[in-house]
Amino acid sequence: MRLNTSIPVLKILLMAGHTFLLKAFTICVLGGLGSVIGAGVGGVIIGVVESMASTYLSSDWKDVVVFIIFLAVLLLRPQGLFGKKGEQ
Amino acid sequence: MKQSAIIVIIAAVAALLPLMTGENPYVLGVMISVLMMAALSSAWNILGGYAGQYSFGHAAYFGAGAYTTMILISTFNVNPLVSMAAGIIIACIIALITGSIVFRLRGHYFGLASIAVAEIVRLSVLNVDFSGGAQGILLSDLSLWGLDLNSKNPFYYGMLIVLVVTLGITLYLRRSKTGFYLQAIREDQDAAASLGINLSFYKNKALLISAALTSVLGSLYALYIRFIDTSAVLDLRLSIEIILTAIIGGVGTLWGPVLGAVLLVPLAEMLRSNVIGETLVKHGIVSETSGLGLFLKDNLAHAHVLVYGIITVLCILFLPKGILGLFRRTK
Amino acid sequence: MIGHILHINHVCKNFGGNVAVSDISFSVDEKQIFGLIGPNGAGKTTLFNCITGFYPVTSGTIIFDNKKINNLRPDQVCHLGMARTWQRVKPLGSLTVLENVMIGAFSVTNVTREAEEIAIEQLASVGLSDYAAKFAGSLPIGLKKKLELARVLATRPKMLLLDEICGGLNHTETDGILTIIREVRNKGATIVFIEHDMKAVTSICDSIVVLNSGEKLAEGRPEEITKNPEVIAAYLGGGQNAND
Repeated sequence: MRLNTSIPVLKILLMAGHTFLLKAFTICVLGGLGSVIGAGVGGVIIGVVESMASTYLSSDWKDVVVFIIFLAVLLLRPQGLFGKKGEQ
Repeated sequence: MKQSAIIVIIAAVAALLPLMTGENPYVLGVMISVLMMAALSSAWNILGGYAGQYSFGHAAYFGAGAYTTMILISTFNVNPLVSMAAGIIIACIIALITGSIVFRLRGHYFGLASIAVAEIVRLSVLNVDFSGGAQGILLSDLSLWGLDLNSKNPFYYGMLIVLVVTLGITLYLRRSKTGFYLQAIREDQDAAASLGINLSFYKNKALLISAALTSVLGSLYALYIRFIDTSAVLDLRLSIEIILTAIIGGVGTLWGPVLGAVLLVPLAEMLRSNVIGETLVKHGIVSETSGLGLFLKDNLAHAHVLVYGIITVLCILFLPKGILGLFRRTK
Repeated sequence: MIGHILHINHVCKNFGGNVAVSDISFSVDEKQIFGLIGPNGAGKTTLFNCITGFYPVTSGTIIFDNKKINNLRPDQVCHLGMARTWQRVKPLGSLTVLENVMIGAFSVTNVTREAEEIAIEQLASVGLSDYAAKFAGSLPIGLKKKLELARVLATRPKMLLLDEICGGLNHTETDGILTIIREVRNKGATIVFIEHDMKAVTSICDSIVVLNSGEKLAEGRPEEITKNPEVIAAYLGGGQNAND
């Protein structure tokens, strides 16, 4: 059976949790905190970006791209795609 | 002020310690680790304990100092002190980028953003050949002013000096306008802003000071061990250990981080080198060949993070302000 | 001739689709004690937050001391001479009473020693000198309100915005606060009050604006306002008696 190489094959590392946490938070912030639709859309966007990054750059850099997106969202549109502007 | 006298006395005692431990390099090595962690946690404390901004990515600044120093010395033969200064500059740039993105936002983004920045730095260094990639950088030859840099003593005193400087800066800040403003920010940001405090400016100020001190420690570490790689100087584990040391000792106090380091670093060392296990065997409490004995022998060495975690949970439950928090004035 | 120190011009504030404040205009004269009243939810605190830079206005302008202050940060507004207190008090709990007031004083000096002197002076003026070394978080509510007042006074403001400073206080405490307010005005500051306590408001204010559901309902002297049928209806409708 051929292994589908587009599925991320991950080693089980005890310390890998923080990467998932950060990606999950990136997705939420991108979509807009408090918006369920936003989380869904954000998840799709990040998933696609990550795959494209690992194809066109290399799989070493895919996490870096996601984390840079996190910072870029905070810088440019902190309320995310579907969040409310001018909170509080 | 009395506190500054205490710093001087303790520094003097610490300065004499290497002479008292005789020729034992192992003990000296542990003491250097204690001083380094005390200084790292104290530097973190300026931002975390006083300004109330918890950075989970301080390893970025440690690694910036370490890598900048190593690369400049090994590839370009730059003077070690100049390399350290360059490390400070790089760390401050990273700090300014982080701060200017996050500090103007309302809400608790700083912690996660600091992890993101630290991970970006770590992964970038890991994937670039220039910084040695996964193999790290090794420094074979090191000399400065004819000092014998192959021995441990200069690094003991180097770490001690940075610790004293950090404590001195903390003490000075506490009585200065900046220190008062940082504490106001920690207590209530809205109230602070309404009283004329520019939140971004002061948070960035605390972050820059903290990052610069951390970077110097990273540079010293690199020169001391002569070998660095991303798992030693840019790992999330280091950032967490710094925070835990400060929390257990007492966040926001002058001596809390120092106390935390004095307690935890030797404990970790004893776990790592199986001292505890061997002591239990020696005194006949546990038989070497029993199930428990073998279990301890195999596993206790790796348990120091687990033990840190348990202590932290206990602290949060019973001593939320850390050990020194117990002794804080209760008026 | 006494001039206007604060102009609110057609200020609107929306949160998403929710209109909190709608087309509010009024002016405050220098050295006036000005009241801003209205039932709960009328938009008074929202307006305060817009004026002091905590919320950006959706439209309209705010002019303070001849400067447009619409898009300034709260700390910039403070440095221009406008200070505010909070409806839910915000003591800096782990700091002492003296240190709290020093934070206010630091907006006019950089020297710790001077800030301490200013703070001691302000604590004396509100009668909190005995509590100087106590932790702010440990004070009862009446004293926390006094502390908040001392703290903003230390910033040497030209104008004070007080958000329900008498809230939760008994008659003696309220009278004490009002006496301090009168003294502050006599020294040259302008005061804008949000208050529910109608007795306090009518006894001390020179002029009053009434808000209801985000709109300006009435404006005038206290005697006119208390007799205004629309005002009375708004308060009764909101469950409050205007002649409390």
